[in-house]
Amino acid sequence: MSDVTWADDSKRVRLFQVGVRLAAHFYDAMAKSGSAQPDRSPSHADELNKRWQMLSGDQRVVEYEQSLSKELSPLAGEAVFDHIRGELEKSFPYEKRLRELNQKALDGARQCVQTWGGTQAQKRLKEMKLLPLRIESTDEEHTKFSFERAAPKHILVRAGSPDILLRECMILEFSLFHEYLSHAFPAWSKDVEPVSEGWLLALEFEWFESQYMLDDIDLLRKVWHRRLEQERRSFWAGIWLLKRCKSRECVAKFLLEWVAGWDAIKEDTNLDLLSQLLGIETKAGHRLGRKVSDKQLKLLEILDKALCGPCQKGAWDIANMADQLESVLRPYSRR
Amino acid sequence: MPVAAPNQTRLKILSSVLYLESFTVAELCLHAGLDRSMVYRELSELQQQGILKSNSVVVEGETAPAHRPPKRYELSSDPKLREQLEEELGSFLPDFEDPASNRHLKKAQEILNVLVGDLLQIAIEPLTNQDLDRWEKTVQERFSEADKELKRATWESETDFSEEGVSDHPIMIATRLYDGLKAQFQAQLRGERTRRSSEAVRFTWADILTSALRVAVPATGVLSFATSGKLLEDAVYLTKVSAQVSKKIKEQMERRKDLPKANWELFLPYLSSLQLDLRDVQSNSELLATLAKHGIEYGNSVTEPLAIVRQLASETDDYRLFFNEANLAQIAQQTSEAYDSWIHYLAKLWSGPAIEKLVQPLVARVAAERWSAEAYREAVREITMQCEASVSALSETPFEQNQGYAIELQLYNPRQDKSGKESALIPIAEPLVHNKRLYVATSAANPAPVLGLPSFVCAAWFHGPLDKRKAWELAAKVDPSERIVKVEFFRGARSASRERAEKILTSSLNAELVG
Repeated sequence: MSDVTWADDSKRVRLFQVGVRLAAHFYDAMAKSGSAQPDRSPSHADELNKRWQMLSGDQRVVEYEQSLSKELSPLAGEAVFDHIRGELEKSFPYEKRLRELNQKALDGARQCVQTWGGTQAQKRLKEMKLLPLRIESTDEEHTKFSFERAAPKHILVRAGSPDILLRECMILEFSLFHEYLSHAFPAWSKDVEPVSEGWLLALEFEWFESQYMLDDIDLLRKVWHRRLEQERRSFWAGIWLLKRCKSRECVAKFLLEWVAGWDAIKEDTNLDLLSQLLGIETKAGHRLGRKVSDKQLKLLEILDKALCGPCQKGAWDIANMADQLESVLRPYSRR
Repeated sequence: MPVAAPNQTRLKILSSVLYLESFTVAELCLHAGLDRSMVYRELSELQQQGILKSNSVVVEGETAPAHRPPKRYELSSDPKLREQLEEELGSFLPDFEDPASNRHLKKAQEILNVLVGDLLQIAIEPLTNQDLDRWEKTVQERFSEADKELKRATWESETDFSEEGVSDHPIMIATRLYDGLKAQFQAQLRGERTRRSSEAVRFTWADILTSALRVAVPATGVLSFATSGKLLEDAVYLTKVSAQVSKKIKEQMERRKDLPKANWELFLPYLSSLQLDLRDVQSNSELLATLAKHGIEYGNSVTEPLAIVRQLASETDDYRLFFNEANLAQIAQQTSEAYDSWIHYLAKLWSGPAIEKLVQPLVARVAAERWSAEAYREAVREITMQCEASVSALSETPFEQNQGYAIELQLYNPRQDKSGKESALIPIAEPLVHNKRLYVATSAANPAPVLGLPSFVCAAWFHGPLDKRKAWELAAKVDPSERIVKVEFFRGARSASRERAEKILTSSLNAELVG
């Protein structure tokens, strides 16, 4: 399978190409303008998005780019847009750009695991290889990303509604990074959504925040806000959990170790632990207007012990952890 | 992104601050669903009030990239300040969780719905042992799955189920449903297993009894002995036969390798019933009647009871023995002998004084494809209201739920009742009739007992509109899925009632009248 495959020549796929190009020129322009005007970038991005939304009709890639250049011409004199217009005059290696983004996403995922992961995670890292990209379109509004396990393994990108496609293209690296870390990295044969779209996503945000610019994170937030719909609760539980340890790396290590050894543990044990951790967050995470009871303090104490105790050693006994948490949750149950 | 009113913005920020405790601006915006520009002013105020403090995310001594987020905000640990925030928010917050968002509860409810279907819809009696084991395994797995999901739903819930006042919580309701269904399943299964094991015991006993009878009392030997006429008071012989039967039964039981001695006690009720009956025997004909009774009720071969009953019937005028002989001959597929015995039985049965002339009953047949439970209910209602009559229906196929009842096939007890303890009717052993049942539905307050094989019951109903031969022949042709309907008129009913009932049967019920 080629490293980048265009599955069709639909309008959405063509616009995706234009979006990838525009995002590349935008980031180049922002890098050139440097930190001189950091606060301007959101409005630049918003302005660019407004012009993007003016694109209409069913055109060829080159025609869309010419239309865009025209839409940007009233902004002449603004360095960022001048740069973009200048670049749009030249030819552009779309596939090369996608390859670069794909490689960066994989490198980011590897670096994250190397930095925060333990022994199992490092071992699992060998399995995480660069995946070919296949670009299709979807009738749905949002652009969809998925890790396809069937051979040949690849990442499938299905371009969604043109209105929000530029924003999707601007955070493409994160979306691909998410596919690598949340879907290709864990040692499971079927995704466990609360983990991949909740807890690991929380970890990925944490990683990106430590690596990227505020404005990038803002963009991520805007695009991912709606993607959190299904697993919003798990995501916030993940954010809460990641903060349980002051080092902020302890829980990240636990999560990466857990998913790296997922298949070696009984499915029920994994799912029990998942529920128990979510339950502890629900029962003892700070809830508004309520005081922490002794029962809740006990829960948190056992949780912290279970999470941080084995951190030094870097190996968590999942079954034992699930047993411990089950016993500490028993006082909340009538059965 | 929606624009929130200023007070809502503050509430969103405060709730996110309390939830997150330590956060970057991006995290706060993501949690609160607000734009960066909307949060700075509130953050600055909260910092001035001492509720928040901020610091760089860069660890001391570490070189950070220039673009790293500059600040992480921390909520003050001062309990008073936190309390102040919580109070400000508390009055606006709902104090409940939405159980519909608990995925495990939803899954548990789905599984419980399937289990309700499993337990309500299945008839486990007809399943083979293998299928029953498979069904048990599948249902057990579902229960185990539901149990896991309920456990997880409980863990993930905000509710503390150890507290009072939570009995109406959907998780508690689902848990009660689970407990109830599980208890029902266990009881149903236990009952079925017990039924099967007693059925197996009954079948084994049928084997043992029949083998013992064959060895101890060879049919031909007994009959020649009985006809010699000198045995009626032969106590020596009676004792000998009783002892021999007991001995042969013991031998048979010992021979059965599949029957550990520990299980012998399961046969005690059968054995003691036989021994008690034998103990009361005073004559050779009583001995034969006792052996016939046990052969019919517990045996698995028709040969011996038929030979004995035939012999006894030939020596008496007892209509009951002719009826038994007819049915046993039919089981032995001796159709013409069965017919002759039935004719004898009818002749003896109706040899009494003439009965008062009543309106003749109506009998009709309804083919399975034309049968409708609803139409039958309506026909019964109309006939009982308008025609001074009661309605009964019978079939070898069960009627719809809440309609009709099953009856075991029965014969007359060949033993004469001397003590008053002996029952007049005995069931025919299942191995002899291959688990056949009759199903009856009736509007009569005191329905007459239904006796004999299905074809005899049908022939008895048909004999009235038809002569004996035709009734017999038609009964032999009745399909097990057919329903036979009989309308019996009360004393004083007029012939117009009969005409009206005929019309209802043929039009509403699509029935075919007999005769």
